[in-house]
Amino acid sequence: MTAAPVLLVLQGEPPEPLVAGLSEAGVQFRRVSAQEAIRVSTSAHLAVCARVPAWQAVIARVYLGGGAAVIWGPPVAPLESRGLLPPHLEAVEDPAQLIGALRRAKERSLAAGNPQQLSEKLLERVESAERISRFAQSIATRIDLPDTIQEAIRRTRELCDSDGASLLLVDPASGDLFLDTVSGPQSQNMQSFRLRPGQGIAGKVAQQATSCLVLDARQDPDFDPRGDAATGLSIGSIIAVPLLQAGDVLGVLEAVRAARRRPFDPEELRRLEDLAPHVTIAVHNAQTNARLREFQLQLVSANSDLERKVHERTKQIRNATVEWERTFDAIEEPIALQEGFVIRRANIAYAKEVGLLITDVPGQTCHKIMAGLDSPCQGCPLPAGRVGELRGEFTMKSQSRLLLSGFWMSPHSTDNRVVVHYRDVTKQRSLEERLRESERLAALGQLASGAAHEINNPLGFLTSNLQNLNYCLEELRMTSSLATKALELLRADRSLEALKALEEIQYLEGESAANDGLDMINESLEGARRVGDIVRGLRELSRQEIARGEPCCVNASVTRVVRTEFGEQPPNVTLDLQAKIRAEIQPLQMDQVLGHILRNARQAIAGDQKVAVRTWNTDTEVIIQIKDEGCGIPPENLRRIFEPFFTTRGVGKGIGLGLTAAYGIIKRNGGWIDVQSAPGHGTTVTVKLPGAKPQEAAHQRTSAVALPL
Amino acid sequence: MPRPPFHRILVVDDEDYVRNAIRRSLRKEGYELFFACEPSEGLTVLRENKIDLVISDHLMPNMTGLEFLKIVHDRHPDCMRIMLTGHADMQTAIDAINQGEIYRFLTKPWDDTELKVTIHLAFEQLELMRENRRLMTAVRRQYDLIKSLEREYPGIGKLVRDADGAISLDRDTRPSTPETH
Repeated sequence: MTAAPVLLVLQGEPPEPLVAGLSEAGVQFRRVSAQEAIRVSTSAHLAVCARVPAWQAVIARVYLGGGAAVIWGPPVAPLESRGLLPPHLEAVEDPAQLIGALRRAKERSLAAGNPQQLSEKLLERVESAERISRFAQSIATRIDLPDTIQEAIRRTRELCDSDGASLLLVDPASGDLFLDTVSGPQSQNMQSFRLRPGQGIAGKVAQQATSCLVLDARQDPDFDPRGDAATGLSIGSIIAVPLLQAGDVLGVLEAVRAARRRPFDPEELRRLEDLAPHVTIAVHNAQTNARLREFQLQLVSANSDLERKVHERTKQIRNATVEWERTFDAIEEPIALQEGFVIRRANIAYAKEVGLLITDVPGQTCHKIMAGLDSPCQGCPLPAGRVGELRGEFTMKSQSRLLLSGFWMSPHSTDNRVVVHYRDVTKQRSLEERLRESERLAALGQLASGAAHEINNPLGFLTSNLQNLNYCLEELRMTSSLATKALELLRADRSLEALKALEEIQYLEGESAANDGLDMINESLEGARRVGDIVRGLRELSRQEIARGEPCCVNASVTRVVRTEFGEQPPNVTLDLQAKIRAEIQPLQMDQVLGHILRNARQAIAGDQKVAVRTWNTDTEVIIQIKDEGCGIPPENLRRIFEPFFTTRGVGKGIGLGLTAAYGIIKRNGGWIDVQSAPGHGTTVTVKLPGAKPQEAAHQRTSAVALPL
Repeated sequence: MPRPPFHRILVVDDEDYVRNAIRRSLRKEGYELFFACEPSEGLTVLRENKIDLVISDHLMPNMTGLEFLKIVHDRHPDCMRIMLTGHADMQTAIDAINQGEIYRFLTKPWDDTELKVTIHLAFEQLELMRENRRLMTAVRRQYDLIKSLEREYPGIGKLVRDADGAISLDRDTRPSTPETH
């Protein structure tokens, strides 16, 4: 250790352990600023230098003065230890190692030779650093990639005093190295030169990302002689460094020297290594710039493309608008697009329907211009929202009937736009009405003709009998007058004449006439009764009103009618009454229906054949089933059982209106009747009727329990 | 025209009281009356008796009056047919006249007098037709007789007149008469 105190160049106060460590070793020390350290360190000093500003200058100065230094702080990065700094610059953080480090630094400094030599070396390096800085600046100011590369190559040749230089870039897609620009004689031949990763000197450098110095290329197995032949040079020595950009190899910078000259030395490699980061940044910048310009060009072209497309689309949309407008106007039925009740668009037929100009329609409300109302039409489906389908039929201002159907624009309930389409059904409705009318008339005609036949038959023998009665009476009158005459003759004692008169009476057969007359009267009365029955049946048939009243307890009705038709406690009728709800039908009508069906059943059975009546219910219906084991109905008659005046019973025994009336009553009450039958297999009649509201069920149940059967 | 006794009438109607009424109306008219309550029974009566007139209803079980009268027309063409129905629609009447070739179409309710007159007129026509047929038969028989005489005695049927127009009975002139051939 020299007598001179150790210089401490620190940021702020020296840390306590450091001071303690130095004092313990008995080392003299002095705290100085960076400027002071540069000034005083002309003679060999030892220095401990933290990374204050200009720390590199302080250390360079200390070494120039023949001293040595260690860094106080974290280890020095390899890059930092280049340039002006001496090799093997040590950094310590532990005060315990500081003394040893200082000793080692001093020993190395002494071994490095005299300060004069070191100074020249350092000056040379400073010069080189300045050149590198200048070159870097010159390279960095280029914008174009070829320009930048050209400049980098030119400067590389200048810096390394080489006969040729090249910059190979890595193709990011394949990893191949390729020449973007070559400098040197015959460089044109090298344009298509490509190296795979690991191929040749440059390939190896790129693959391993480390610098390389080849003293004689011709003796190196990695050397690719293609480059040799192409450049026209006889290559001797090569130096190559990777261009590292954030850990990736961007390319390889290479300098070659002809075989006839001396090979490169490590110092020249170091210079190239120093230049490489600057080249990397410049190339990267240029590449980025080029890419950016490319993007810009693409952007401009895309922009104009877009503009053209927008123009085209606008034209298409305008065309489509016209096409659709024309299409809708060509439809002869009114169509409108509405937002709720407010019309947004409409076709010409719509304007014509409401008698407005097409331009006046938008903004109006549909009920105002269509129906002439200030508020929405009654039964309008629009206010109901999206419940059910949009359909309705309305009478318009023009008295025409329009059938409306609407379609929502979108499935979202917040969008209340709706397309409304109207169809004029005035003619159709009036045709339908006329058809219904003529159907009614036809049915009436059929009924009248049937009725006429049924009435004319009894009327026929009625009138005939009345005429014949006339003769009978005449005969009886004559008998009576002859008898009177005979009596008078007898009184006058003219018995011969009286006998003659009495003989005449015998000839008149008064007694048989009287008997005949009685028969005729009885038959006529029967005929008149039948006409009455028919008229009553017709009246029942034509009763159209649906009598709404107390719903009917079908079980009670069945019990009642069975008693009427079959008598008390009938042995051949079984009842199974399970209906728990009432049916929507008047009890009197229910009795009529059951009467007609049960009467048929009674007349169908013979001997010990049975009739079974069941009732039950579903949630909404009451079902009554009457099943007999009787003779059954042949298919050709089954088709006609509901026809008015159709009967299979003998003349005068049934008028054929019973099932017709029952059918009418059931249909009017919203019910359904079905008859299943085959000859010899009995007949099953099923009647379904709508059930009454459930709240009346409790009442029904109690009354059902109270039945006598 | 003298009416032969006991013209036979068949009444076909499914209603007892109608048959009774007709029986009473026609009882004193001097006809022999037959009754059937349906067409098939009527056909049996027709087969077993020589019926002159059928009075039939239209709507009856198993067969309509029209169908029945058509059968009567085919099997017993010499029998008059009258329809008596309460089902008086136009089509039935037209079909009865065109297809059943009936003599009259009467409707219920009927007038007894009209019925009697109609029956009487029907029999008059029937008698005329029968007379006609009988006369036609006589004419044909006589014509056949003349033909056979002519074959036996050629020229016997020819009348020969002389120039004065008088009938010539001279047998010798006969072969030279051109009219004989």
